[in-house]
Amino acid sequence: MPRRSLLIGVVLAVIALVLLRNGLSPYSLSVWSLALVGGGLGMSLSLLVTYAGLPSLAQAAFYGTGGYAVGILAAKHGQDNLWIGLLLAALVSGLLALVLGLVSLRTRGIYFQIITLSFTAMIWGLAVKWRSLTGGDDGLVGIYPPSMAPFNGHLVTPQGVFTFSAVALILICLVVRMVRNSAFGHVLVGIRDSESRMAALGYRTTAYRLGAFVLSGMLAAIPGALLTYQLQFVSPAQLNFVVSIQALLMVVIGAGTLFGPALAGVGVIWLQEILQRHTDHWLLVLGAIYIAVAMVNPPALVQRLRTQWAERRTAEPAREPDLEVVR
Amino acid sequence: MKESTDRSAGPVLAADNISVRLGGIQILQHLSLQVERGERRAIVGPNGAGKTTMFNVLTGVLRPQEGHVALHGRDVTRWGVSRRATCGMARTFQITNLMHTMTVEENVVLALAASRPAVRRDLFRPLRSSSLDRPAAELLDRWGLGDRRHLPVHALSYGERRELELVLAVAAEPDVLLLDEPAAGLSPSETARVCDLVERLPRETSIVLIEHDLDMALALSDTVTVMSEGSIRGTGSADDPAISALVEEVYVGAVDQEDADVAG
Repeated sequence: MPRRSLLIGVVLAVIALVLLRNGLSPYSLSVWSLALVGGGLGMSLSLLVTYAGLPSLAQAAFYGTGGYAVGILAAKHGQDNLWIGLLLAALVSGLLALVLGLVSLRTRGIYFQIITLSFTAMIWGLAVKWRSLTGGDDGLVGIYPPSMAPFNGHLVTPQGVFTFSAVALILICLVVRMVRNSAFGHVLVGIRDSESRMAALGYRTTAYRLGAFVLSGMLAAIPGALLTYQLQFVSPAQLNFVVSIQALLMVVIGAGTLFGPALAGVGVIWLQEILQRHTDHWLLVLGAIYIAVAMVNPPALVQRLRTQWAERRTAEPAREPDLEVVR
Repeated sequence: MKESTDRSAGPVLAADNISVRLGGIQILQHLSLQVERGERRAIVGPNGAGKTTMFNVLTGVLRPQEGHVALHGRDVTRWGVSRRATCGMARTFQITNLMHTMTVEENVVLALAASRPAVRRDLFRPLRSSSLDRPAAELLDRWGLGDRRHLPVHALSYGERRELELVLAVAAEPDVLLLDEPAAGLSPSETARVCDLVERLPRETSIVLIEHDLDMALALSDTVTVMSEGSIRGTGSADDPAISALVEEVYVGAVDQEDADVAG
């Protein structure tokens, strides 16, 4: 994506966010804030799935660990600084990702998914059982709106929370874009396309994959921490494996486009919140929508659209979407 | 990133007493091979002779149960694929193996970046504006793929993909290049192009070539090693009549064997 269209995109996003911020009720704003956090979750996993070709099911573990990191920091140690919280969340999740990556990246495909899923279940079990630290099933309470020091005030008003979540999402998007366009990102895509070839060229493929895994885990911790701050509560539900699957779904709906997973994440969580409000059968409705989306095969749709667009403009064939198209 | 290597004396690449068993089957038996600097070596032999397995041992894909591999006189038996590559070893694959979602140019840029520490240090800078665009374009021009630069790999013809395989392998200016059936599945004119590319490689590059097409193997190499059933039957000059006789023997022998299998 060229620089100019990126700039236009960011400007449009900011205008939309400002309009939403001033136009919505406090309740709607809180729903949108949750949705923006969901966008961050989808984006963090997209780095791994779309570019490194690693369909990890451990994203909930890093997302939830980020949440618990700031929760424990605030509730048990009385440290309520937002920046310290976010930094700690990223570090703890990054460390966890390093450990898991060293183990899981020796495997591929379904085995990689089993290991990452098991890991999520283990972290979930830890959160349930280690009551003295995590509050167990009941979760952690006593988390108050964080201080923005050295800036004034606390992250407390619905407008403030919304704005901060939006800025965080935009920053995460820009980080993922930078990685995609960097030498590192190209090496990742190269390894996804052909690991044996990249190794034969001299790339230490496992080291690059590990780097992507850790970075993705750190990115997931940021929306995870923001969710805890928003809810002023953290419970094992935040690192349930269902969250991992939801994150994977966001990436699939994102269809291999750069910012698609962010939009999909916002949409999925927003829809979930709205459905929850209107019907007891929201899981049923949501499930039906997901099945419909999977039938459409979003990456294939994007490729078809891109091909048509490219044929209209030039004779050159279109680029494939970054996510694998299942034919 | 090339590690310091002693290039003064001895063979560039040496395999010593290599044995490989896979799933209870002996694929290679006590196989030894030495490739001198600048040597052009062809490996011929029927299917199942163990040629590709030997390549996998030489490049580090496979660890042999017995024996050693030396690159520039250093024992690299326990080294991985990428470390051997950074020490001057490159290969092509029997089945086309490219970064298929990228453009031709991006493939070449990645091949170039692998051997340049300066680029790898700038990991998070955009690759597009890197200093490698020009060398990549020059490389593609030199090897006749210049006008294909901006095409995605999946838009290339099969012959062009085989050529790109070669370009990627030579991008890092390797000391020893292993070519696994570079002309497999190509038309005569495409084969001629690939032969031409191989002949234009720098004279000091050692080449080990697996090839079924005997005419091509003889045209491109000084020395021929004949393999069958996991061991080396003989090595000699390409114009040595004894070698031609040996080649005929292993291929015809193999055919006889197949006939016998069918009959049995």
